[in-house]
Amino acid sequence: MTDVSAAAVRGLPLPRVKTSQWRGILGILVVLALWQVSVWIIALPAYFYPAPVDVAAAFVDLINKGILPAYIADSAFRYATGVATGLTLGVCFGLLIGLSRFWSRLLGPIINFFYAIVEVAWIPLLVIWIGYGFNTILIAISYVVFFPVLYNTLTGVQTVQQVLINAVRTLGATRRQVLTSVILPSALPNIITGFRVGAGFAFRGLIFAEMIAAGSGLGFLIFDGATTRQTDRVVVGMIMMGVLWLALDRLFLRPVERATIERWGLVRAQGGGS
Amino acid sequence: MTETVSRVGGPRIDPMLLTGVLPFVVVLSLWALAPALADIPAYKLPSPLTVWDTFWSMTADGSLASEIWASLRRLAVGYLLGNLIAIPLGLAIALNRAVAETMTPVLSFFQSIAGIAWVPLAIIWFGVGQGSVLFVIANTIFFASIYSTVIGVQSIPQVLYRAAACHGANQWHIITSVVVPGALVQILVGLRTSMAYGWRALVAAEMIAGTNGIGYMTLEAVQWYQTEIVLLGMILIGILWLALDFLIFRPIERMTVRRWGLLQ
Amino acid sequence: MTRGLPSEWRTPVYALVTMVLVMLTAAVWGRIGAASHLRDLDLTQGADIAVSLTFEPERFHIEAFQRVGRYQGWSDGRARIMSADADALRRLARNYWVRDIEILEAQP
Repeated sequence: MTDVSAAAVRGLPLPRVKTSQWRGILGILVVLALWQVSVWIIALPAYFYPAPVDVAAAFVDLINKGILPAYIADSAFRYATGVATGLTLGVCFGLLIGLSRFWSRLLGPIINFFYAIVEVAWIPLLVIWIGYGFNTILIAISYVVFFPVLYNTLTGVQTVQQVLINAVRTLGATRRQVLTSVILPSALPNIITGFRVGAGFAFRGLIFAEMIAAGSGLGFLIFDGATTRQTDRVVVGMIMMGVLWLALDRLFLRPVERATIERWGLVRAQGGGS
Repeated sequence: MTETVSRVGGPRIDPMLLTGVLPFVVVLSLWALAPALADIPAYKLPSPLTVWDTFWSMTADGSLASEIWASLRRLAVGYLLGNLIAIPLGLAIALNRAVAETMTPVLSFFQSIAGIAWVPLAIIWFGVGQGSVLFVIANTIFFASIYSTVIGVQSIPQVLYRAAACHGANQWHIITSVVVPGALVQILVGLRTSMAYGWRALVAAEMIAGTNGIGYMTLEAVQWYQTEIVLLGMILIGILWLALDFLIFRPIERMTVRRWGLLQ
Repeated sequence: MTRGLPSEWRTPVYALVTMVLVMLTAAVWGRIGAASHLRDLDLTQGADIAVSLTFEPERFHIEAFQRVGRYQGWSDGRARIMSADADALRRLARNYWVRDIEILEAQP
């Protein structure tokens, strides 16, 4: 399927890039070309419809002035702390609810209800209660990561093969050992999947929260650029957003998800299921 | 490569009616007693009664209904528009493996910035109001849906194509009996995911670029410190989403995907 | 060291390591730059300083100046800041977009 072998036959020193990746790069180039063509056709001023070269110039400008790295750092910090908080709380509550019928009956409905109130809807209230800035954004991001992580942890805990728990118990495992050696590893792929879903919503939530409640960051850059009619900066912000999310997803989230499934998904397969 | 079908909505949390109601009672009581317990000013946390009164007065003069209707109508138009264009287009793109591979990174990129990031640009292009909000919603739903569709088609095992060819299927038969059913799970998941993103985009876009609707109503009230309207808006947003989920998506999932055993 | 890593973990680990290295490099670069800017300066509390930039400051930069002291204005490539706080000034000097920092002579 790769054309490394084909290249080897031809004797060319091709780098190890799959055909699909070359095609992907072609796709991106095609879109860039279409963008430039549309600029020529639409022929409106740059503050309305910037050309690729305008956006590239704005990118360089923002880096020279130190604005872009500072904003990215701010956004990244808010994102990381929010996501970490949501993940921790989600796993803790997921385990609590998954392992205890009492807690699941008690907290189930109210968690389902609050899940329906999307994080976006909390921002106005948080602004009234806490004001603008880091804390509001932290709470909003944690909130949005909490629910998918909780639900997926729950699924992971509830689908642990009873066979495995029994097996470990016959070997004399205590409750805590059952938790750490069977339940947690078995639930880990689910937890990571939930984390990936939450991370996606959280990223968009971050950008929105920064538009409304922050004075720095990528979301603020996009919004402020529009306010000051610097549309090229708006597009820089949007592109950076896409690039950063793709980097995060492809370089971290998906590989970690695949790795945990590979390593611990086996725990599930062995009881004769999945 | 199989995409893990992840659970965005809740799995079976087993609620017994009595114990399940208890936390709601606790929350409501804390809410009602908060001004007495802690020294919280009324503008930060109006009592449940105030919110209830606001609800009735806004229902009586029809303003609440018109805001809700404006939001739902926008959502429906954006959802239909986005999906009706995205799904066929996605199927068309994904049919040819070369084209699918060319478009996937681009679609993935646009899916990641879909929605809220477009709001400021939409304001520059269409101004504040209906046009911008609708554009953002349709944009969100379109990119979420087309990405799901393309991935769905790409995850159909090659074997099935060859099997169909063995049975003498022509291109049209292959589309109807292999491609569409095979991608159906992912397309249905995409319908649900695009709605999840689309709903958030609706509320967010109304807050920033809207002139009416539930989201607009909720954020606008912050300026006037009408916290009871903010709270009312939040509760309504939650109820509306629950309604959308229970009345539309769960039944569809039950009737199609679950019945066909394609999802746990 | 990476030989023991299962193949799936390589990508995230490499990415994480790269990111940490970039952050460390940036921090070190900033400190070196700050040292060179602030060398030979007598940083008594409340000194009046001039920060020169290669571009006209935007609100982002003015906010940064205001975290250091009282921002007085911008003229021929320099921003004047009165009563600069020494620690805040050191933090400002770490930014790579700062070209130079000088003490303002008191004008009679």
